[in-house]
Amino acid sequence: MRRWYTTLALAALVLPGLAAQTFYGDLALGLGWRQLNGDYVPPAPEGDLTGYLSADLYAEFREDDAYSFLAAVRMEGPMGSGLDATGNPASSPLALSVVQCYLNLPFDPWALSVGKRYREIGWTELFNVANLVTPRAFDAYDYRRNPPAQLDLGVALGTVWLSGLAWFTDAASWEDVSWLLSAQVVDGAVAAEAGVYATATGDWHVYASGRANLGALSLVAEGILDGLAYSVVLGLALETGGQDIQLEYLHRSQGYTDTEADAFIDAARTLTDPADLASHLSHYSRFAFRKDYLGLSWAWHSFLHPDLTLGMDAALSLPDIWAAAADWGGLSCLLSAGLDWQVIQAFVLSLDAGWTLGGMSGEFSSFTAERALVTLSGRLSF
Amino acid sequence: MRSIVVAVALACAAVAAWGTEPSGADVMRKSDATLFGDRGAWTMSLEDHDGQRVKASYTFSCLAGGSDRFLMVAEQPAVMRGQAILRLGDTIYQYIRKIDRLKQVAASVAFFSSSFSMEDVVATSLSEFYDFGDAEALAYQGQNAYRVTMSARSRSAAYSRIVCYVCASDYRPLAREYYAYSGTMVKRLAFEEQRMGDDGRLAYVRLRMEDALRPRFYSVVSFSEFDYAAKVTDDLFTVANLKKAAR
Repeated sequence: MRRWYTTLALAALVLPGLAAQTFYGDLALGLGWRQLNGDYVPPAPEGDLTGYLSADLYAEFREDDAYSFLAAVRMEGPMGSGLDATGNPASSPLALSVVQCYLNLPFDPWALSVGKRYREIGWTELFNVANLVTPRAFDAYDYRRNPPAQLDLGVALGTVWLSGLAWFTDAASWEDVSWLLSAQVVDGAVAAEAGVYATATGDWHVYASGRANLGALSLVAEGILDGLAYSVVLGLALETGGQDIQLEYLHRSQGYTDTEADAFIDAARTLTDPADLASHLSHYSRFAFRKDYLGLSWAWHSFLHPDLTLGMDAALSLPDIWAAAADWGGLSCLLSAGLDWQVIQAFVLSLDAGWTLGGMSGEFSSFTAERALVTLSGRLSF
Repeated sequence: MRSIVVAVALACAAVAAWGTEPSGADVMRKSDATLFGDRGAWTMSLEDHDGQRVKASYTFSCLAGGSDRFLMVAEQPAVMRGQAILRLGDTIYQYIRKIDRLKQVAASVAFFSSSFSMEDVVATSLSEFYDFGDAEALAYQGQNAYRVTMSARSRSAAYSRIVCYVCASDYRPLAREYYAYSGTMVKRLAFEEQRMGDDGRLAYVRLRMEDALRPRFYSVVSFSEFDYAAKVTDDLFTVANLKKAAR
């Protein structure tokens, strides 16, 4: 298996001499102030100032109708003293990672894609339950996981796109292969897709996702089935030209009830051994803890000035609203608001503020380090 | 006597025909014919202005496969590479290759940061989305012109009403005024320059969209490098090809 990965790397060296080349990227710098969350379960980070520097570089090589190759490299690091808590040099003050590196080979009506890449599955905007390959939540650019390699073969049959995908979840065990067979149909205002996963752990999942466009309003639905367990997203999106609003509701049948969630959080608070705590928290995943979540995203373009965009996001972790008596003390919320200023075409200045709301039995208020966070950041594209 | 009656009848018919205005649909059909045509390929360059300052500029490759099928691929600047837009009937899809993101976009959404909406840019003809009113003869900026008012067929159209001014002699479009659903005029489009090629078809056109609500801001778009013989097949206007075309 490593042989074709090596071939891909060699292609990265050879292709530049043959193809049209494009290099682009962005550089981001952020400085922030935070108020730490006193209810935070894991050991709280120190300091109320934060900072980061990150850079993405994209290299693209292309011969039309023959192939295209994209490599995306990310460099990021916290802005600190470079020393750890003991005064020694920090082990990884700067991280360099290959985010994507893949080759596309189109041969009509087929297309083959090989390498590491983001693979979007499903039509929801905020909660993305159908995507087991590179799942995301809320922020489209903040993917939770990106497997080291995929092999994706697709064919177009009219308005239907059929795809067979194999992906490898761990570079250390290439024999663990997961599979996906899917079909996507886009016909005018209606788009739908459905598929079957067979994961390396032996689990089977079936998913379906669709979106219908009714002018400025769109309706979206997505669901995935794992045996008798299921997750469903229902939502709507409104685009008026000046403003975008997305509202989505997520229900997971396997999420914790109020009693179970309280027990999990209480157990975490009593653990003093860091190893035990880390083991306990390995069972926690944001947006996969409770049964019900509500997400809202709102953007107001040209707010007061054509170069300004005002945005607001809210995610609510709800108590068990389907129970006879929901414990609303378990309600928690991640709330953020931001103002983007497009100074020039290549530079955006952003002022963002975020708050974690909720009590000691709330999911976000227990597992989010910051109670409040204000960040000033700039992003330069080149 | 019979010949006199016939002559009078013919004269009346001629006078009636001379005094009849063409329908709004006729005027707009002829006006659209002086522009892009239904099928072909061309290049679109767009500049956003804040007063004299150019705020942003973009270049796209365009492909039209009928009045309601349109494909645009971003070429410049480099940071826009990998983005493509497809119109299929009333629905517009946008694809961003670097995150493999495909999404539906409303017609009224701004075309990137410009004064144009998606509908302004990804359509060769408005007849799919608007009903035509009558053509009204008038003088517009010293020229004999027709004024045709178009009304949205549904709320999926970007505007409630578009008032078009068309040159009476050669049916060149002169200007358009765009009205929001609130009834307010929000934009004004001027056809600044239009050149025809040796084949009698459009070779270059430059338009200026002014934002009536923000007087200093406007966008200038020009269409050039027309290739009417380009091979345009229906399978190019599919989501599968949208992903392939994004480069």
